[in-house]
Amino acid sequence: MISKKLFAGVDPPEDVILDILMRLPMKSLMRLSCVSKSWNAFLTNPNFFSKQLHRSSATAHKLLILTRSELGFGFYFHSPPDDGDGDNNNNVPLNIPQFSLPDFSIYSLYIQGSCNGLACLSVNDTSTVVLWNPVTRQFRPIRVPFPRGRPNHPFEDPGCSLFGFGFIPRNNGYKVVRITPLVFPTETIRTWVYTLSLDSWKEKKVAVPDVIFKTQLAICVNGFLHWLAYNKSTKVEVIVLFDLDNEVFRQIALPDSYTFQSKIDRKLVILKGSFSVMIHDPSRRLEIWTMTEYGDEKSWTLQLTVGAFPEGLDYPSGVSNNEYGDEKSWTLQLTIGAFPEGLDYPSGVSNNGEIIFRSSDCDSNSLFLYDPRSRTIKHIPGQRRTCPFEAVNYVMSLVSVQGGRKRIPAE
Amino acid sequence: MATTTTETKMLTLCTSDKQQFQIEETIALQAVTIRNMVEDECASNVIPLPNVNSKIMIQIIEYLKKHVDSSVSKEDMEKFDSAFVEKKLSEIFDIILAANYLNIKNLLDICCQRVADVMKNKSPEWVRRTFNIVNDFTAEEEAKIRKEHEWAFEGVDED
Repeated sequence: MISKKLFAGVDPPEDVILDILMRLPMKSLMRLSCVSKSWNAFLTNPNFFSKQLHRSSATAHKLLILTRSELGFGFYFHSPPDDGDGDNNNNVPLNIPQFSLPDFSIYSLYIQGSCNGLACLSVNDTSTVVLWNPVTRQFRPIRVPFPRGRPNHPFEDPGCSLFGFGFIPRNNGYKVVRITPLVFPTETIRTWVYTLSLDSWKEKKVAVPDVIFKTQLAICVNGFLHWLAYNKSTKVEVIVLFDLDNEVFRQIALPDSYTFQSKIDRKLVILKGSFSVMIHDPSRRLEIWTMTEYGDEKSWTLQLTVGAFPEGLDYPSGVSNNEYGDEKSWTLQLTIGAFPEGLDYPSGVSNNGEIIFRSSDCDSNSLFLYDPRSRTIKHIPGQRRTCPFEAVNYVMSLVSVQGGRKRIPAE
Repeated sequence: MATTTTETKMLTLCTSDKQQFQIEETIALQAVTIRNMVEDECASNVIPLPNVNSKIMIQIIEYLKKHVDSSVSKEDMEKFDSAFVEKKLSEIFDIILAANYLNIKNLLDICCQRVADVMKNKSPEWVRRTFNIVNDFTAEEEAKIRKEHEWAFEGVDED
């Protein structure tokens, strides 16, 4: 029993200890992890994390944002205003570590995924991926097999790889998936899977759907990775998913909205914990559909419609997180009259429903979060002009980059 | 008799140190464990509570009496609660154990919150001392974890 060792003298049941510790901010928990070995083991255990997440999911969701500009690169944690961790600063800058890589180049740093408090980054032309916990500042560089491709296949290369990073609830395991190449349809697509607990890559001979992948961040929900892709035979956009536990691909349908229109920009997002898709059309209308029953295509439900963006915000780039499941369970939730002026490019959504926008105004700082309910706009520092940026949903945790369990010797 | 024939129904609770407490049933039933015993009719004349001593029982009854009173405003109840948990941690822990056993959710909540509030800005040394925990890390191991978590040590209370 861990609990007996945690509080010598008093002997509260483990539930009570959890109840107390889950009320502490992440910073306190980090400090307490050096109280003793048993405290350390308890606080970094994935079970503690999942219970803590279950309890605090309303407030624990943040965005991890990587901005790039002529001023330099920056990572930020963005917290919702009602965040319970007592930190009033909504945008907390993070140091970018060098990840112990002698040839580290910040200019080739990309976010490839985020799960349970671990971020997966690719660096140095995807020759290396790094698992990074920005809260504990632990990181683990992982060499990617054959990063540069074979000499006679110069395009099977780094930039053409698609990555995904996710968590398998069944065994608390983590995997990184690499699919390559993407540009040469004539070339056989190959799939590699890195299993954290084994610390090894394996090529998987699995059937890959006949699609063209869109190079967007893979969204991990319920042990499945999801990408948007164009199905070459049906000529419609679909969601390709990869079952991380059984290592097989599958396709599911998008919500039946704008299916046959061109110039539609879709992004897979997580809204209030649910697997969702953000759809943005050229008339500046934005919809967010949620799969209310994960896995059921009939559950796609329209959650949010924004009639017209606020001016100046042009490209929505994502949504901040919230439920997952079922293609028929995609549901529409809320309709907003118009986007604020100046907001032009919606590019994402945060878990609590704030829409990430890039501004079309080149002279100003250009990254914003727009809350369609309160119609408030918040500026995210560090991003200028039309430089690319990435934003992923992030939950704080003390989960170890070692995978949360003892390393099993590689096969 | 557990159910005296006075207008208000009374229950008798017997603590670990064999003290008996006569309290109104409506007050006692806020504790889910007591309610289940009464509903299952396994409570006869006297309800034995072998996990709670009289010192803690007095405080729990004080809490239950206040919380059964529906005329108390939300603000006053909050004031009462925050004054109630102004106790030594060892006492709070005893109440937590009793509240957990008796299944009184609100009481457990405010006490756990109190412990968390006290611990929030404390150093690992304080936690070890307070909870009598042996530090089994070697100096090197501890230094390593501290270095990794350096930023978490900003703004720690003086011991």
